[in-house]
Amino acid sequence: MKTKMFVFAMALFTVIALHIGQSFAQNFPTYHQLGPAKATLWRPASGTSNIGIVIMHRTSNFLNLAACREMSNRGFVVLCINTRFDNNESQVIFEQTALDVKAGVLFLRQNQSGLTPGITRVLLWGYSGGGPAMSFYQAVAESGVGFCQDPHKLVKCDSTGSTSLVGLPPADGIVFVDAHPGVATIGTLRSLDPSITNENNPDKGVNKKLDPYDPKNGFNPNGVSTYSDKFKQAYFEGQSARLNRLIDQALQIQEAIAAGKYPYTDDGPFVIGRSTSAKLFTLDTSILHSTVRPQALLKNDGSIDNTHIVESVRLPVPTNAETNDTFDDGGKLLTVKSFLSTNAIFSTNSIDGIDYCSSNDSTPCNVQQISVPILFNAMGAYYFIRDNEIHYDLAKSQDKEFIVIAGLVHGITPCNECPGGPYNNSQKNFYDHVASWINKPGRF
Amino acid sequence: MKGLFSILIILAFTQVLGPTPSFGQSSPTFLQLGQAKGALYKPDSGPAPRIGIIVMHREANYMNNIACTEFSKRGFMVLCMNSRFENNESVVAWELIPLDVAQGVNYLKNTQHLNRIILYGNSGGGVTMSFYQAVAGNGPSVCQGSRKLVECSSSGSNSLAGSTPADGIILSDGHPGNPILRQRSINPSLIRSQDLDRVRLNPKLNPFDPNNGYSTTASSTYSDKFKQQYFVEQAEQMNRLIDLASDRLQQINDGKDIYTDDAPFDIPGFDNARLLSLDLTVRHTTVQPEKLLKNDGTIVTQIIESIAPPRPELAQLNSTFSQGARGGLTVRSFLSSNAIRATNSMDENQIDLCSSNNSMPCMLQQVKAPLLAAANQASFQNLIQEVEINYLYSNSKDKDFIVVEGATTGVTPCTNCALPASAYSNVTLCCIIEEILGINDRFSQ
Repeated sequence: MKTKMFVFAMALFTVIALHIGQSFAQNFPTYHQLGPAKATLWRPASGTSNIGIVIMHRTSNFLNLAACREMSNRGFVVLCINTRFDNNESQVIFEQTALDVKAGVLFLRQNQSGLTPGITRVLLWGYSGGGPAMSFYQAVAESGVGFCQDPHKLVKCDSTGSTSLVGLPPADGIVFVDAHPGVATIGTLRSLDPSITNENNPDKGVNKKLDPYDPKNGFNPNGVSTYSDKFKQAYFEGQSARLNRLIDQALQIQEAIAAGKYPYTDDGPFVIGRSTSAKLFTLDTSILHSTVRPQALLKNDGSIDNTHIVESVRLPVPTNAETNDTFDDGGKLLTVKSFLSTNAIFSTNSIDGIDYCSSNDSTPCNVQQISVPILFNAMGAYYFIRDNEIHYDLAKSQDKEFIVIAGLVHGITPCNECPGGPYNNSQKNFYDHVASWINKPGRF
Repeated sequence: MKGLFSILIILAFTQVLGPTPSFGQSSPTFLQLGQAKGALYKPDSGPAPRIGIIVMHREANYMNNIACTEFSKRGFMVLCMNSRFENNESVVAWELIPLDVAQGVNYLKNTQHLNRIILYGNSGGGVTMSFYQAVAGNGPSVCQGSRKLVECSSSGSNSLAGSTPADGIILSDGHPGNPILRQRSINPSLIRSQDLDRVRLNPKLNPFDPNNGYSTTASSTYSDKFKQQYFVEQAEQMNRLIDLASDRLQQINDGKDIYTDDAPFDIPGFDNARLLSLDLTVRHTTVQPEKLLKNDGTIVTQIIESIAPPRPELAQLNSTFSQGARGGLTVRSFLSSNAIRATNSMDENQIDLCSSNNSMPCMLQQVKAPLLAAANQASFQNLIQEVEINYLYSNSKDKDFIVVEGATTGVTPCTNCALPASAYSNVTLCCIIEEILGINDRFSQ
């Protein structure tokens, strides 16, 4: 009996040891200061990799993002970065985020830490708002600063001085993970409450006909709202009209500052009430509900079905009604500069009438410049499925793939309450699929 | 005592420059500590550390501060942290800051099993650490009461009850607190409208008018009468802002505001009109003879003068949004981390020191642990007397105060003082060694 137990224990130990020996991320990453940006370096616990991945968002803390560990567990060197605008939306000059990506690319390519010898390929990982940041970097790196200095842009990038974007080293590929179209589009344009007519006092002069939280217009505080086509059309056009008014207002303040006719000499506060929690598609899930063509769906059992139109299984969020009235979560505390650079885009309709290239913070504009291999992943329990299909269609790259991951929410965790589950394997399936895509012979 | 001190310095120099030094970790380990972040620096060689040092500020990035490597080089384990309010003054809820320090203390105690924990507060980190220690040693009652503009919690997820006190505090150019600094920095010649979006000028109190004593190229010279009026009006302006913010908060709480939780509170000319940085006669020396740690490592005791050069460029900064209005605040962040009541901005006896929890002279009265207060002679905000006053308010029986010759607030040699930077080439070494002496002397057993 004891012998059998010993043999079993040894066999189990061997299996575990072999598994561990394959590739486990170090327990704790190392910290590195990259100029004004911060970074954590995650290396596989064993083995070496010639592929490095740079992960970054515009403002969020990604130093400890799950993808850092998951991808280093799968054998890659991963550099997770927080930009110079860490934790502060009001400071963001979007064009400068590219400087922090550049620092990360060079950190890996040049083995600046001495810890990552042999890296020959660097990929960018654009998750959520990291999507527009990474696509912007790569677009400028491939096409030059002429791209971000187009006269059509609301804000142009620099080509001289310490914030010049001349000579960015291109990455070798991009993985987009539930990337959104840009904070200007998703965070502002599609989030604005179009019933607001008085920016100084959002409570005055409210246009009740466009109130998304009025049951008479279709709001359901207990479930899925249902708005008429007429309401939706007016709503989306109203969102565009409000943002266009705000852009005019910001440009006027900018002129007043330049003319010395403003209380401040450099910039000014730009506060927008009722501006982040009026996304109609979080209330009425029939909006931006599916792909327009059959697309690949990575199912919970690991198989891929590419024969159907893919529908989002997300749930509505009627509690946004309360959030809309708050300052912290329902409003935006910006400056004139950060508004114009990161939060503004021209449009006539917030869903399908967007002048994508009027902002540099725009994934659908940026991917048109990108020719390296791209993998677009959209989460099946969120609302970026259709946007990513658009990104995929617009991307210049010849080597591109689009896939929806079944039942994952935006945080890359399973939606337990969503229909069609369970989705308990989807998270692992997702990271495995990305690793497999990267490791495809001949790609990198 | 003086002789012993000299011997200790020589020993410390020997330790640092000897044949088997510890080397600071070139690649520190990253730790996510709740909502705070940490970089853990260990000596690369030498014996396992028994003493841990926590370095943190209110919102600045201290994960690669000079103290992290300098202390770890000298054999200590150093946890350099950024709070949840990193890089964002407008979101600071000051009364939550101790929760992040507690994360660090608990990590070093419970995970690294260190015997002694020292808190190191540079600049605004000083009041951060003194607030933590005051609450940890005395309980949340320290930060509660009707006198407080904002009270801390003693229940729920934001409760400050039950924190573990540290074993000592090092203040490195630790200022009196953000609210006292702001009170001394507000431009009192700007008369702000009720909604703060318009200003008109009272020329009699304009600090940037040569007729009042302002110099664009050298130290300004204001009359005593001007200064007196200026300091009184600064306090009155602050009191008016407090009333304005309190009324707005009441309106929010009563459900009568357009927002349900908080609101923007942008103040034109709120910062950079600080006479201490313009007129070098204002608080430019220690109030009594104090120890000066000189560049050659010796210590002399004397009245010590600040060597910080004047900053006439504040005239431009005061009118900006990014600097002059500190990039924008909210009603809550103003009241919690930028406001204090007073009748004269420069007289501690006329400042209600404990009306804010972000107040070093208030908190140090509650701290019993050993305290080393180091002021930097070339502090850009002319802080030497401010740090000395903090020290004098401390109730610790084991306390020490010293000024580091030629050092800036960032603990680097002054590069724009009367003497060249080479005259202060040992600043880092001296300053840190002095601090080490404080530690080793008291906590080695």
